[in-house]
Amino acid sequence: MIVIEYLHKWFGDHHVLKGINLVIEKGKITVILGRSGCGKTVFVKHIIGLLKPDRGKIYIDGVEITSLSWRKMKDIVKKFGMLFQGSALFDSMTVEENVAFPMREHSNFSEEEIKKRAKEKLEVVGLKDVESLYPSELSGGMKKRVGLARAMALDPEYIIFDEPTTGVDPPTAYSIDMLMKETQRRFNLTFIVITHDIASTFRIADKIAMMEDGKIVETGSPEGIMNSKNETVKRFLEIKGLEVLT
Amino acid sequence: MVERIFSIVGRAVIKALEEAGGLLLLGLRVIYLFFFPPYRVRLFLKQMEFIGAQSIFIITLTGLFTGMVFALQSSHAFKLFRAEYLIGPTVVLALTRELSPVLSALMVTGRAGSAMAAELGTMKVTEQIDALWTMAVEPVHYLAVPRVVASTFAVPMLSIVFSFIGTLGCYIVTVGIVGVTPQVFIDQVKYYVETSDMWMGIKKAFFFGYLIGVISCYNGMKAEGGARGVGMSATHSVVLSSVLIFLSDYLLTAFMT
Repeated sequence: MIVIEYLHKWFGDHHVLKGINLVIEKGKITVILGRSGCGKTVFVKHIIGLLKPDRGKIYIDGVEITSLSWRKMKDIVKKFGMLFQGSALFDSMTVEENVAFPMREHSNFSEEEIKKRAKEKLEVVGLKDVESLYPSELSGGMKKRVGLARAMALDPEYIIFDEPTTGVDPPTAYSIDMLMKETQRRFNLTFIVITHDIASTFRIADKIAMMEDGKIVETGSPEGIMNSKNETVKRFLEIKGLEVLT
Repeated sequence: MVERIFSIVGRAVIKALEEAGGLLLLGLRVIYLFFFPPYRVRLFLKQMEFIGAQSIFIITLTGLFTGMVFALQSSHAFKLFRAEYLIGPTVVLALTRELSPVLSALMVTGRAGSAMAAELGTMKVTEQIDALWTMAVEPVHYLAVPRVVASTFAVPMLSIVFSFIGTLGCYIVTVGIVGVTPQVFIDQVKYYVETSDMWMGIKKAFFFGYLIGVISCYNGMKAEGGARGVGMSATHSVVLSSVLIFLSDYLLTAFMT
């Protein structure tokens, strides 16, 4: 379980995170929903240790991580995988080398075993015979799938998704959502998804945390959020056209 | 008006101090992490090949012409005193003590330093460096350590090649054009040039190599804002490396002599 308490972050004079409190439960898909620029990405970068907060605490499975050294943080980070908005695949490596990279760094598997596992991970995300391709030869949707296969390479407990459906066409977005949901259920993982895509949110979320201007303004189940009386939530859902879905 | 001037100067000073601090911290962190496993020998050799082996052709060319032109220019002055036999030692001393480390470092800065900054800059803006962290791989350990170590060892080696080829160029002009006999050229060089002169150049090159590696990696890993940011990081890395090579050359020379 991840517990975030009173998290604050400033960049110069700009107060980006303004006291975030949130509990992320294990084995569920928690979606952090909010418009672009509200601080979602900055927030999740704190969870994985890419940024340090100016104030507040983060507990990962009971361990407070904000003051940990890199050596201790490394063990925490190994519990995570992350799929970036632009996939962040290493463009000098093939698909297989990308997926195998975390295993080569952290496991004692033989080269043969690593290749076998990389192939298995690629099959889980629905990709076959792409091992020798370079990221520049893949479509946007395929890159996301490879990114997910790489994020799952070390069998993490938590996977963070940064805008997984941004920049892909609606059918691809739908297939990514289905893949995420299926993978989460199959392996009982904890997914943390940040997005501004309402359709995607309501397709996959077990819990939604609505973020606005550096604060969590509402949390709840998809039904709870849909029926929320909170003005910010109502306005966001209206603007983003929830009526199309309902 | 005065307030505005103070504000501009103050901001520039803060930025310069920030950058100096950042460079120093990265430089120290690279040394610290160098001693921790995993030791990435393959990445180090790859960088040695890129920074060192692939620079040999350009170092050979610049070294040859530097030695030749320096000998030709010196011959005009030495002829006035009928002291042409001193062309060899003068050029070789200048090469081993100053020209080889400084010019080799500048060539590496232009060829490899800018490429390193651009490569890391691209990785930074496409979140590949963040991705390394999320895979529990320390980016400085994986990216900067092999590059800085390779650069630190490659520049002295290139400097030795530069000295050797430069001496050859000087020999061609002094013996072939000016008319000094080969034996006199060799005897005079052996008489005036000592091993300590060569060590001085190698030590400088060692430091310049470290400097280029740290500056290039720092600028690359700090790049922001897409293609423009990557381009600026490469340019800034070349300019800063070049200026600091000249500045530190003076300080090192003053310290070592």
